[in-house]
Amino acid sequence: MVQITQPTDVSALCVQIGAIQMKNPVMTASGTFGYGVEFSGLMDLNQLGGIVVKGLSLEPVPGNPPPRIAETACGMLNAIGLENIGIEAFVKEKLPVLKGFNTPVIANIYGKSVDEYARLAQKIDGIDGIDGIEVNISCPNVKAGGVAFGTDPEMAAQVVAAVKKQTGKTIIVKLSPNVTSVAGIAQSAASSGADAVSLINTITGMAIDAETRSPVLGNITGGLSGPAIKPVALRMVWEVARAVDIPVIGIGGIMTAADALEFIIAGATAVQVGTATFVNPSACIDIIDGMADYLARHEISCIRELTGTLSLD
Amino acid sequence: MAQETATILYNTRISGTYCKIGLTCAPQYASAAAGQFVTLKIRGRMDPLLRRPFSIHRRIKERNQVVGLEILYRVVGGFTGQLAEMVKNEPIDLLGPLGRGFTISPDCKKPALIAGGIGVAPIVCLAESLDENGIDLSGAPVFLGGRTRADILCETDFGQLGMRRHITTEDGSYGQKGLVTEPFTGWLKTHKPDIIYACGPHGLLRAVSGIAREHGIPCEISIETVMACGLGVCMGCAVKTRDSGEGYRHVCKDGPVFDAAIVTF
Repeated sequence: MVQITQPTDVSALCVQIGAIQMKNPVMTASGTFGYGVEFSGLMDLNQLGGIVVKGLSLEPVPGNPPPRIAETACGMLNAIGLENIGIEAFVKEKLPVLKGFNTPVIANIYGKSVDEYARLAQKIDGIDGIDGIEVNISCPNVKAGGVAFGTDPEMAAQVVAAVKKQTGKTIIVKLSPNVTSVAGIAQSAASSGADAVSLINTITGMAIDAETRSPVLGNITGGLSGPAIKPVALRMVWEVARAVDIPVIGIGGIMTAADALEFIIAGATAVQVGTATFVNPSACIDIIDGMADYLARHEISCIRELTGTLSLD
Repeated sequence: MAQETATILYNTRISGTYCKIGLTCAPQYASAAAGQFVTLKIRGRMDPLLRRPFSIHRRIKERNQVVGLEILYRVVGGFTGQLAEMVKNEPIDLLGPLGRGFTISPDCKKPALIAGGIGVAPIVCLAESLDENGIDLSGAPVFLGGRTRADILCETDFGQLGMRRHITTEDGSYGQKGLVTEPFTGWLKTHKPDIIYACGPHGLLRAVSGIAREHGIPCEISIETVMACGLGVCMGCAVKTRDSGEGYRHVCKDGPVFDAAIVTF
């Protein structure tokens, strides 16, 4: 059993997202940390700012035909297709273990219709141990729903409003970069009741095998993640942070504490770490430690003071 | 399972594009099963980005204690090219042991081992484990196949265990010319193993699984896919199996060793 430890200076790194108090601004990105419990033997889950679990649907989803993964220059494409065990199995089998840790749990949800999102939110509303909902309107790898709601401000508003109606829990809306104006979608989510927005989900891409003239992925296209997308993610976080008043959670290619701090400076309140966990399962912990070191080195008493401090002089 | 910073004990080219690397490892590898794997990452490198999976080839022992791991690898791309340049005492990020290995049962006393090319890597570990588990391997067959002479590896390792080696190369440069399945089907006319273990390219595994089914012999195969996490969280290494219904199994967690009867090719 891993020993329970607390960060040395709790107040310096703590942030708040909606009603969720986090001991630090580093969360796991959905789809890269399973249901959290898989990592309990590799790290102390108590050290994380938050655990965002694999996207959950009303019923189990089998996912896309393989191959589902293709590595690209400094990044990777995935087309998993939201394979998951469904909300009920998650609550029954995984959540009891997660409740044993002193870390907020955020359920990422995905529906094929506005009604499905609402029903998921309704189910989660009564469940103790789930602190917030991340509404996934940005998965590029499923045919129905997902990104269809994340590329139209009106549709995004409908989903968020439907979720808001069903729950008092903190609502985070995860945004797609595959749009002309990400700030427009973010504003739509904010005015419909989102407590925070998280971005970016993966960028739609593809890989081709020239020898066989065939796509590398079974799904033909997939979502690009990893350090290759960080500059795009940073730009979008910067744009969104200036357009909305709710907290922004930065995601996209964060591998190191320096990467995470760049997102904070661009305007993010917190960050999520995804692909880096595949490369180094304890990446989140290293990033938290590195952020604490930065604050000490720059004599910043609180990470919140750093948000949006990009110097344009 | 543990993530650790391993130290390279040695890194040697054994022939052509094949190399062996020795790494320090945690004591828990003593209970690792043959067929389990590890993932490696050269820290700080962004390209290639992801960890790479490798079968455990051998456990390095000193006075009956496991003090390290040996990995047999072929230099095929970016990662293995970088790996081949690493030298003794350099650190490398090691995660493992991962996945499900071969089943060793005291009821199976007459195994047949089959390996194609670099697929021999876990088969050597398996042979050593069978031997440690008191299975008498003297005269037991191992069928080794490769494209050419350079792809026939670890012959002496099997020889030391008293195993009978059947060699085939596709170009006929060593052993019998043809595919490894040819001498295997010939041998089956006069012998009946109680289990078949195989690792190698997709075509070999498909052929061996078919032969095992025809003869009604239990068969375990180690399969390879692209994977990202190795921990059963990314769902990237999905494979269809006869028992997975509408869903999939995952090579990193349910495998890489599967009962051949459930694998769909």
